[in-house]
Amino acid sequence: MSSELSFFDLIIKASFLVQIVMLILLALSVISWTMIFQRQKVLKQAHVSSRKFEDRFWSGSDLSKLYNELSARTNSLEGLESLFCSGFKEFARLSKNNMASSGTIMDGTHRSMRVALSREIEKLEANLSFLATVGSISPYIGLFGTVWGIMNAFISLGAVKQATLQMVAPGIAEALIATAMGLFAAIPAVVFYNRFAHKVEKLDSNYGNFMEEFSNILHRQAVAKSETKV
Amino acid sequence: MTLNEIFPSLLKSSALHIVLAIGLVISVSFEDDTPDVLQVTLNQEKAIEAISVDQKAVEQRIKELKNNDVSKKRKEEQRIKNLEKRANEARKKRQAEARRIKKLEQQRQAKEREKKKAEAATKKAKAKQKIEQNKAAKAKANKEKAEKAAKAAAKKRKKEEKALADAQKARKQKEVEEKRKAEAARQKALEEQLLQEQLAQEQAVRAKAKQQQVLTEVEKYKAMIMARIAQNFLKDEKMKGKQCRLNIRLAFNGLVTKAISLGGDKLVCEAALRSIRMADTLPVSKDRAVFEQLKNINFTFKPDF
Repeated sequence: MSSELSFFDLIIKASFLVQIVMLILLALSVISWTMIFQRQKVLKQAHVSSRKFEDRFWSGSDLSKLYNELSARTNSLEGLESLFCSGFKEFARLSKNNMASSGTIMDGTHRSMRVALSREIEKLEANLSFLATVGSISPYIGLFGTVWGIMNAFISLGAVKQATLQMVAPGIAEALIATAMGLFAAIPAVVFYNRFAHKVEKLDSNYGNFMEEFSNILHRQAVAKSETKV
Repeated sequence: MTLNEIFPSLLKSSALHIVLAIGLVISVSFEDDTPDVLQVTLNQEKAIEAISVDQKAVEQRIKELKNNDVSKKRKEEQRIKNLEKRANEARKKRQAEARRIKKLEQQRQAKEREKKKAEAATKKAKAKQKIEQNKAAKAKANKEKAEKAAKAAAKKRKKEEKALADAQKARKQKEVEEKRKAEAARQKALEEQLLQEQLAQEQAVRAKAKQQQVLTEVEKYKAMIMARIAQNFLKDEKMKGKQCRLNIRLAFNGLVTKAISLGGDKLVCEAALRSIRMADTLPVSKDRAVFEQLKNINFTFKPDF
């Protein structure tokens, strides 16, 4: 029993299983922080780009011109841009063939936009479930390590005739490190999961609003067209 | 999601963890307060004071040790004095030697003087001979041939004698020189030897002192180990006057790696071993030399009542 217990000692002297638990928790923590940084970047980008696109959309420029511009770079569209493109494409395709009434045109357009919307949301939500999982299970993993460590400490204590506190304390301290690490991994994961879920929800409603507004505009156009036809 | 997309985030997260880990390792170290009594430094005075606060037995033991120390020191001083005396004697011897050498020199000089006298006598004799020869030459004036021959012979002989005298002189000078050189060399060697002897003696004295210190340290730690055992020892009336021989092996930090009884009262031995197990660590010195002695120790434990 050395007079000084450093953090490092506690980890090195722990039993093999507890060490494995600690290793797993460390890996989970590293991965979850990777996800956090990555998601943060993606969500921020999505937010900025949607804001920019909305500005452009409402600036009163010609919609077909905007579509032409966007469709030139089809593979790098994101968020509202892809929503707009798919909606406008479908609308143009349907309104070309004059048979369709304004109701059917709008139905088709709406459908295609909904598909694009759900794709975008899917992209934004990727990996968020991992954060949720880490947040909920890593305390349990840590607890498992702790229970195992304490169990070992008590088993070895049983072999001694006269137990002192000095014998039990280091073992329990070692075991408790595992719980500490579990909490260390779980807390940021939970915090950022909630934060990101909220952000995704906000973006979702933002996209939904845009979709409705855009279909409104398109509907107006379709009705005007069918009236001139008649 | 490709690896390229994840990589910067992964880097960031790893860096965060490493920074946190380093911070934790540096900042968090739990120190448990072991009582000061058991921390022993090499400073003897301090150690004795620290123990005297708690353990009278140890104090007594250490006092004994101290007394021993003092007597040993006195012996040491005596020894050093003896050494000094011996050195003085050696010096006197050397002086006597020098005197003897001087005497020899004087004798040699006297001999030389005698030799010189003898030479002078021979020279005088030679001069006389010359005069006689001259007389003979005059007498034999009419016999020129004989005279010439005699003259030539005399000249030749003179030359030879001169050469002989020169050779003798040179030889003598050489001898003197050689003798002086040999004398000087001998003296030098003698001095060096004496110096070395003195150095060796000093070194031996120092080594002995160090050894002595280590031994006293070992004794002290032994006493402390005993005290530690006695602390946890559960006494019984039956143990009165009984004892047990123990062998203990210690790790460098004082952890008991092995403790066995070598014989003695069974009850005492068991209780002592139990107490050692309870103590877990025993006081050991941080000094390497002292620890080497403490690593594997045997001693007799006797519970006091």
